[in-house]
Amino acid sequence: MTYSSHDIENFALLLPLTQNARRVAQQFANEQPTPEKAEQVRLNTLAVWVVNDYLQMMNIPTDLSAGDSWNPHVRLCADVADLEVSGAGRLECRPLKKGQRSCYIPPEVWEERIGYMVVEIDDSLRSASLLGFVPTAATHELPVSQLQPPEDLIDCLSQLRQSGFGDI
Amino acid sequence: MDRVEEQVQRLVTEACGHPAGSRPRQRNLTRLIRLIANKLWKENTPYYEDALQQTWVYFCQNICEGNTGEAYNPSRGSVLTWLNTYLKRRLQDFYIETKKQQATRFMGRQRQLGRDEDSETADPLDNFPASPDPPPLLEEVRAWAETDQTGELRRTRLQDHPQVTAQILILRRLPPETSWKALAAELGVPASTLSSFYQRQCLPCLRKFGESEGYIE
Repeated sequence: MTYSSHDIENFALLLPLTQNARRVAQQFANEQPTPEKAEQVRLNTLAVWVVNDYLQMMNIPTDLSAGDSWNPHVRLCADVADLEVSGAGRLECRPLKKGQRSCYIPPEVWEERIGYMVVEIDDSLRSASLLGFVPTAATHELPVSQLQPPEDLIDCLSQLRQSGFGDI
Repeated sequence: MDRVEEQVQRLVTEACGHPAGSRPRQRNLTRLIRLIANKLWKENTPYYEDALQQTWVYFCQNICEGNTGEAYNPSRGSVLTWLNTYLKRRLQDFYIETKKQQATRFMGRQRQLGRDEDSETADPLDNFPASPDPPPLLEEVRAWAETDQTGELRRTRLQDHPQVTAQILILRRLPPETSWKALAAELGVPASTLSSFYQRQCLPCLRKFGESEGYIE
């Protein structure tokens, strides 16, 4: 099923990016050797952070520091934005800049993921919108029109956590 | 009652009709956040987003049951009024905290000036040496991969393509990294095979390296 850009705007869940989120994202970015890599890490960190905030609000337990995105060596060597959802598995939180119509999904995150949440980061870095979710994505470019509403993640997580398959 | 307010009331009733932590509760709370997000009080202060995040947490905790405060009571006003009141109170807290910190800094500066009037440095923080740069991560990982003390990185090979080792891939993917496409052409292996091998067999080596270095954040 595909959705129009109007639908996607209707799905979008606007959330704040706190000072702490921005501080940590900047700190992770400062470790990177090139400006391009620093920008990638900054956006990845913010995307993971805001999805983590959302899941906390929904009372869904996560382990932020268990992911590759929080591991200095792995995030240097791979374009990763994963968030460990307790009892379910790793959710990839892919950042998108405002106005982009498709989201880049790097090949190194095509496997070992329970799903992909696409997050639009505002240019001010002070807010972000959860645009939508897909359970699988083995493609370089994921069109925003193929996203399901963000709350579909809730059903997906609930199934994984009930079945107990998430720990594999 | 306007249309939005009616919609909000309906969703609140719907959300609270299901137990905390249940899927319908979570879905309806999400719909409520979406509906309300653009209608809350806005201002341009450095701590606004912090106050707003606290407000959303408060909303989720107390809209149905009073978990961290008093539960929302519709007879006392709309959900928007309830949330805006909380948000403005948090903003006020941050404002007071910021003023306090500014005052403390100012006092410190005054004391310092009084003590050494001839000194050119007014800010006590200026007297602290700059913190040393963290060890450059890139060089650390490069050295580890090149040395490969245990031989593990050279031994980890792609099946049917023994020329592709974890050592080669990790070194070539250090930023500025060679693209998967270019590596595929160079090594004669499909890009998706390379990236899958990288994810499944090379990244675990990196994780292990990080653990042995005692990186915990």
